[in-house]
Amino acid sequence: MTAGAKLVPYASPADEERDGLPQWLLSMDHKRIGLMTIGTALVFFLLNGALALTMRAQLAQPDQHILSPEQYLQFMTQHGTGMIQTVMTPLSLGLGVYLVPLQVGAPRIAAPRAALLGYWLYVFGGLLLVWGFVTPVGGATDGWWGYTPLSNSDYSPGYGMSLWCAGVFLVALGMILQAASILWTILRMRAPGVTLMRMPVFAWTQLVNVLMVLTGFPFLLAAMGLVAAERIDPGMFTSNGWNIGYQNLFWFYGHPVVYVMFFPFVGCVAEVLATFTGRRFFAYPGTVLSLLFFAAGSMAVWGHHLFASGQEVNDYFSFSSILLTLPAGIEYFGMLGTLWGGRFRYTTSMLFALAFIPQFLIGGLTGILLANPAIDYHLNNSYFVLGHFHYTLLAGSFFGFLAGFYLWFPKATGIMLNERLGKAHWLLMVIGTNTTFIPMFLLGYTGMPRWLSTYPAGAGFTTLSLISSIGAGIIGIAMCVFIWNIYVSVRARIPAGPNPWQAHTLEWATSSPPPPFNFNLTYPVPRVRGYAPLLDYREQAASRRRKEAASPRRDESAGADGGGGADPGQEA
Amino acid sequence: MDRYLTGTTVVLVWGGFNTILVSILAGFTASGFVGGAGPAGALAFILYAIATSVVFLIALAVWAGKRRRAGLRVPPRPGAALLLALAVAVSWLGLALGGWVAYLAIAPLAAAVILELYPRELP
Repeated sequence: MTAGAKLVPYASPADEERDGLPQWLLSMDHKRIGLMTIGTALVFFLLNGALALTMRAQLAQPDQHILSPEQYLQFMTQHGTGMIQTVMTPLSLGLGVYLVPLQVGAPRIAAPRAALLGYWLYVFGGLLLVWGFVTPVGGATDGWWGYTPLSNSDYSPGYGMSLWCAGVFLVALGMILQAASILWTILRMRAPGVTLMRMPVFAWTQLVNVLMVLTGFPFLLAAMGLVAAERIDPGMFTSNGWNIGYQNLFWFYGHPVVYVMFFPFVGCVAEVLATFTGRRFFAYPGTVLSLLFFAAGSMAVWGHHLFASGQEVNDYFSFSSILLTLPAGIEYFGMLGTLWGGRFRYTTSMLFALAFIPQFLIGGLTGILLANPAIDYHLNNSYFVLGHFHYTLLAGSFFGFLAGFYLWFPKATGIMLNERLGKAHWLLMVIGTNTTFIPMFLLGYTGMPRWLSTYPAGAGFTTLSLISSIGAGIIGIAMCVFIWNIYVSVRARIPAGPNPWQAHTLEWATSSPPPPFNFNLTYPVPRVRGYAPLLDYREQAASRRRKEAASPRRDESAGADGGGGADPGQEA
Repeated sequence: MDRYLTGTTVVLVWGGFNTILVSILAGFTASGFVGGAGPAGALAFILYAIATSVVFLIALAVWAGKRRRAGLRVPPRPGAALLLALAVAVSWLGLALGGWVAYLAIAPLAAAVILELYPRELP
């Protein structure tokens, strides 16, 4: 960081093994930074989820006034900003901080202080957002985009909006730093033998993810700079050109972030499907290429959020948005191809991954509809849009996260989660999610606008709104089961072992939880010959056993090459 | 394929895809499609072109960066990261609570700098 900074070795790995709170909060072990990022994001998830439940309670019946219209706008703004800035984006990058060094065989993350600084910026930013929400002088009410001039100090007096602006800036800066650490780890710190084409699909999704963060998120910093300037002097940027300029700046970040909140969870699902079908991920090279193209295309579609403004090149943005169906189709092809002929194990993780596939498809297909300007004019700012992006973010990405959570929780903690409670969690999530969000499509199509704090009894929204609110309650119960599962499992402490799922990638070759610096003499980085190295080992071992069975006299020479042994993690 | 697919080439491929899409946007903008002829259309092109340039800068940084074998070395003084984050957060508080609050950021910033310049090595 400065000229005075220099690298010194730890006296012993035991320094990283100390478990006091200061050791955790100031740790430069990527595993701890990753777990703290994910844990903090889950706390924010519960907070922002509670806001959503309150709003759904208000909308369950017509003419309800649990929240005033002003409070409703504050709840909506905090829910949207919080879920995107402080939940899904940090979950996406937190998984990367934890898993990427393990998956590429690196002893640590590149620039660990940057990753730690990123974490603390995120924490402080999240706290400022919450402070802005609970402030008695009025929280932000301008949505997660904070359009100017509505967000200037004339139209949004009080310091709630200023805290919102500060919080968003800090979180975005923190995420940029964590993304840079992940990028450098992937490109410059891979273990010998781990070429880019031998990285797991999850690591690839992280690679394209952080490229988008590094190119898209700085524009959010610039946008927040504009909001800050307008908070200080509300007459600074008054022309319509500036306002459209702000919208372009914001959405240049705002659409790529949708994919930042998506790609890593596709990676989670890919790993889960490969693990629980016992197969390599299908069409790996095509998937890698499609990820690169998908991520590039994701940078070129922001203007579809401005279709209705009449100030954007609608034809181009419609073309580029619909173009994304091509790489998305290739990724779906890869996922379905992995399932084909697999030996299924229906663990909780696998169930979440299987639910992800059709649910995200609904989110994606409704996105294609909205990419058509003619349809978008009709559905813009309606509940249809809410249904669409909740299908992508909750029914898609969050399900992908949960698939990954159930897969990697034993690795991170050394403890197995309770499968029975996990399956109850899954079932309630599937029922709750679809009950909540399918009615939103119908409500939107019949004309219910977003941001509506209540509605009259004769508007025709009552039944569908009630169904949607019941679904939200079921999601709330599902999350309680999830928390109970973690509590019960941590108390039961059923040991996981290095590779409880017979998974394929490098992180499963080390202990659970992994030791300081990830691999050691007991758990060395195994020789990597493909993107599923542990599966390679198992297949070679099986092949060797078959040969030994065919010619029992030659078994003394078997295994001499060191490449046909059992799964390295299990062996250790 | 492994031989040619280095970190730099991956970033360049991604930059190449973006360049294609920027070029198409330039074509749409220049052809005067709805919204493209005005200043907003030009702004969209400029924003995307800047972002694509950033991709190539990243590729340059990756190319220039040495392949580091970090081993078991980690930098000391993690407290400086926390203090720096605190300083940035407090400085932004000035926007909400008044400019004077931003001056309070000097304390954690100075502490972070001192920690950096005069490190106490880990045991």
